[in-house]
Amino acid sequence: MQSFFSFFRLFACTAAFFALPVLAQPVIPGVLSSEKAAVSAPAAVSAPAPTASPAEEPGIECATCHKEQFDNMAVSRHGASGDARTPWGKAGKEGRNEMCTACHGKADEHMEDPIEKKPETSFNKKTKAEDKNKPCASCHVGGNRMHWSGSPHESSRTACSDCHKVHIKKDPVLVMETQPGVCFTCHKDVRSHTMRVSSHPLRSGQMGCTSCHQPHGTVGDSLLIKNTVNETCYTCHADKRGPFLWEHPPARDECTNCHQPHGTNNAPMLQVRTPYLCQQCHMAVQHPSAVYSGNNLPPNAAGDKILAQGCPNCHVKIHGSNHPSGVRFMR
Amino acid sequence: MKKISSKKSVFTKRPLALALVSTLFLSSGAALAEPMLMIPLTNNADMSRYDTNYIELGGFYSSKDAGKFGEWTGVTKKGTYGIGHLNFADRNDQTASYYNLLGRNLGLDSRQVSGNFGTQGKYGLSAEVAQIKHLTSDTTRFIFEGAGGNALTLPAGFAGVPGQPPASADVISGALQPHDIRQKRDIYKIGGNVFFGGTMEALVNYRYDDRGGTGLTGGAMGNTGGNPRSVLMPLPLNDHTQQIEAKLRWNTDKAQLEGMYYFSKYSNNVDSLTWQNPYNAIAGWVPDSGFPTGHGRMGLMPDNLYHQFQLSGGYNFTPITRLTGVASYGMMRQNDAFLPYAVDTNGIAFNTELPRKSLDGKVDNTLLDLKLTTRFFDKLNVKASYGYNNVNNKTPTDLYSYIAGDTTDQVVIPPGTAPNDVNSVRLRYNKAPSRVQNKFRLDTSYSLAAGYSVRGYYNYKKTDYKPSIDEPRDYTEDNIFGLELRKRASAWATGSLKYEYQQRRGSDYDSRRPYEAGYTDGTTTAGLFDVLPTMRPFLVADYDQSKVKTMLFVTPADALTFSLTGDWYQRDYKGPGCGGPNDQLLQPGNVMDNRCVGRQRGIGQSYTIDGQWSPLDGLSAYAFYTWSQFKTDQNGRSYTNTGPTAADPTRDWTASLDNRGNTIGVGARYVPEERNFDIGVQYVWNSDKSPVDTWAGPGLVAPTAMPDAKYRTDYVQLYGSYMLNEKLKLRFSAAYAHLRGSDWKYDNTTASSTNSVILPEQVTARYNDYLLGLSIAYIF
Repeated sequence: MQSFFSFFRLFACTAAFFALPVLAQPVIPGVLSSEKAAVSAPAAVSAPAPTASPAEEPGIECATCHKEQFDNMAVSRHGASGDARTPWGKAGKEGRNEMCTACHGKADEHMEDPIEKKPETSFNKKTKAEDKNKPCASCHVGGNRMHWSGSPHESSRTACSDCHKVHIKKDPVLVMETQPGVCFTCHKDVRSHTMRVSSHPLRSGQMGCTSCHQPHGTVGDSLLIKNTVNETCYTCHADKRGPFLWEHPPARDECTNCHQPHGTNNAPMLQVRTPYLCQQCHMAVQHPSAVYSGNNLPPNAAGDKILAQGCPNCHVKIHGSNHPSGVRFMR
Repeated sequence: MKKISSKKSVFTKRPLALALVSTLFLSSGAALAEPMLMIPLTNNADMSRYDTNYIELGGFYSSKDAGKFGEWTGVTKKGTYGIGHLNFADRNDQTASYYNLLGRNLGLDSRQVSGNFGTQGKYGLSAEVAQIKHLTSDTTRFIFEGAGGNALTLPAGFAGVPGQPPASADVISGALQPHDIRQKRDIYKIGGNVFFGGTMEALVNYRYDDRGGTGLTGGAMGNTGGNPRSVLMPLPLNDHTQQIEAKLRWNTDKAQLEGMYYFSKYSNNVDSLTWQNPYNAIAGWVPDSGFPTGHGRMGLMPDNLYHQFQLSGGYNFTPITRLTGVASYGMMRQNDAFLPYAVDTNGIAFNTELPRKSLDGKVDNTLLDLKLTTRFFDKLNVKASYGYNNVNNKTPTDLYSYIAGDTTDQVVIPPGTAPNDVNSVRLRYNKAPSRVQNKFRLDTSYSLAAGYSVRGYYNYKKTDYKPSIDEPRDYTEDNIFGLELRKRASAWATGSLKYEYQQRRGSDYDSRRPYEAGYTDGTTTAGLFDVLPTMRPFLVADYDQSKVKTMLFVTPADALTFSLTGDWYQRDYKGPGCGGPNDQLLQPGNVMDNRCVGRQRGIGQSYTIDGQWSPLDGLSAYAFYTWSQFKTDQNGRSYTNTGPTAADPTRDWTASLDNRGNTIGVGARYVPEERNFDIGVQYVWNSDKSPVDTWAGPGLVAPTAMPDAKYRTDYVQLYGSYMLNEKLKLRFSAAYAHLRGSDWKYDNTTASSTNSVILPEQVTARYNDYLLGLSIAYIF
């Protein structure tokens, strides 16, 4: 019940946030969406004919055949004519909105012979990735796309349209729950890893791939949202950041030395089971160097280093300790 | 379904009022709606939840307790659950104004409400509230009272454990009390952006994470030398993290610039955990440190702070030549007050003051990255980059006279003797490891005829360890060569084949260095060592690695797509060579041979066959199978002293750790055109096995076989919807979720299964759950 009250508080904050625009701007005068709705509403619901003249807005001509794509574009970010940066808002050579031609280029021949002739830029499998990306890059060049050029996805000739869908109302790769399905198209091993018994909450939709990755290019090796692996992990696990009095070198070096963040069979997402993982670096006198096997399982009583957490049954502060007596990560 | 864009105003009050009412209803605990418990596994998701305005209410029933199944969602117990989803969105094309409100899984313990509004190209504001619950185990039992707090006590009437838990099974089992290990994280986010003119944009995002609950930890008393005893116990979690990211962007077609400031502050509300020692004092402990007077105290994660300043930029010299760069400076700080060396109630003799009251920990991280991309002759793409990363640990180092697990007197430093000359393993210097990396990359690709292209690349990375006296090597160098052949999509096929060779080498390996840097001179001259000198930790060891990656996508017909992907690599660790002079730290007469210990080999591979089929309009189906493996082989030597046994090759052992997984997914969805229903089914089967094989030489007790740790999950779901009328949509979902596991980490264990650790009786996760849900969506 407490969580419900806490959630109620959370919601109250959110409601207040959303009440702001309503109070500040209760109703925007005039018709706001109706013109767009006239174009976008499906025929079965309501479909007044397009009001704009084809001569003024070349995209309207495209809607004659590509109605679904056109309608969906019209209700998307790209279809906001009030935003001068969008294809719908951009002023073309003749002062017209470019609409479809902003990305597809000239389509005069295509309209004369729709079967044999294609628009200047087609987004099909035969088109080179760099040609498909040109229209996107003509606007989306800064911000998160700044490091696209030379990035792993660019180097492997990934096209923007391989991941993004602009002709549907909601792009699946921009929704947290549906995003992994897009990434799994190529990263199939990761799909399998997320099914492991110990994994981040990707499978249940609390995280998306972009919670950690920045697919448009970064300075690091694995397209992470931060410059390094550890900086990325610290965005949620800041308690592991330190610095600590007693540092554990592999933890300071890179979290993935021990963890496989996509999921493993070895909780908590360890690359290798304890105590064997620890013994790949630690071979000290007595128990750290002992060989562990079925001899250490019940009913034998020598499983203190192997059962449950293994070595961290005692060495619990394995990410680093700030206790003056924590040199062996036991405090 | 009606489109998101309706004829109504974008900012009418009605959707907000409905959202408020519906969420209040859900928050009151009503049982409603279909859960979203498994994400779509392929790129054919039903997006109607996100592109339609609706409120969905309903309920579902879970037939069994299934803690692991609901570990992240909260569907952990048998019973009825309520869930609501909502989505309100609208945008106006003429003013470019928009708003969006999305609620997910509102009736579950893990839920989220997010939204944003603004005007494209002018400003935007966003907010999100999310609660994530995580159940680690609902089978754990502990001997302590006060779980979740920072002081754990033993129940009245508890008799001390006389050192060996199996002999005290009754004492332990009589005190056990159930306590689930679960955590909650509430996340609040708010952000905004505003555009200035046509080229400038300012963005600010704030995130607050509030974490609570309990984790699992171990409280050890005593230390090395055969006298440690531990008990697993609940770890209190009560902390929060604040993050601010502010960016200023300037974008033109020719050049782009972004300045960023990032701030992160971690605050822990609990500085330590104290527990009552359940063990009677044993040899080597001061008497009062045992039960009932003895206590242990561990430090919890200290508060810390991070500032980062970053400048990123890109410049197009020509349409095909671009330079990008990043310069970043980050500062990690930690200065929490130290706890004392030990609790002061155990009768311990304290002889030395702490060298300082807090660490004054400082690590500065400087990063520079420059990348130039260009093209020659329209076919040759060239990319060159340089990266520099300096992790400079400025934390002061001092000598600490540590107390072993709250049970021993502090070492006595004789008057007139310099502490550094004292021979004691309990006198230790902290280390401040730093490193500098320089990276260079060259990547070229050339377009051949018929859609083929070939790519070659070379990466070089040098890591200097500073101060090198703390590290076994001064530096390591990595060289990577790669070659890739790619065939661009023809009418029916596209694919690639990549081979990569990676090699790491470095300076001489001196196994004495880390030991000498951490201990007093008086100790190191006694001829001891901390880790077998022939250990080559995989972090800095030499290795050779080969990697092959292949991908083939085939589209034999418009309705059918197949893909085959494969990844394989093998990494062989090569030392550097063992048994040299630097490895001979043993007592006279004992010679280390040239057999290295540590990780020797790593193998990873994954192969997938995947198909998607759309035989009819509205009908789509998929199937995939993945086999994957990650395996490591390692060498060890079991020794009981730093003399004869350490040099005895008959005490060698090996271990091979394998992880093999099989995943199958099958699904189909039918959305007939002009009909008022849709239906879908998905099935996921996953089976993992983790065998461990060990071998030991004749000087050791022969190891016996380990049972394989195995987990097998099945998840099958039938789902669909039916349009009752234009406004109402009925959704249904029936699912079966099953996990069968056997894991030697937990199987057949009781709290008193081992000699020196009291276990929490955690049970290997299993479940067998049926779920049935029905919900109704009001669409507007």
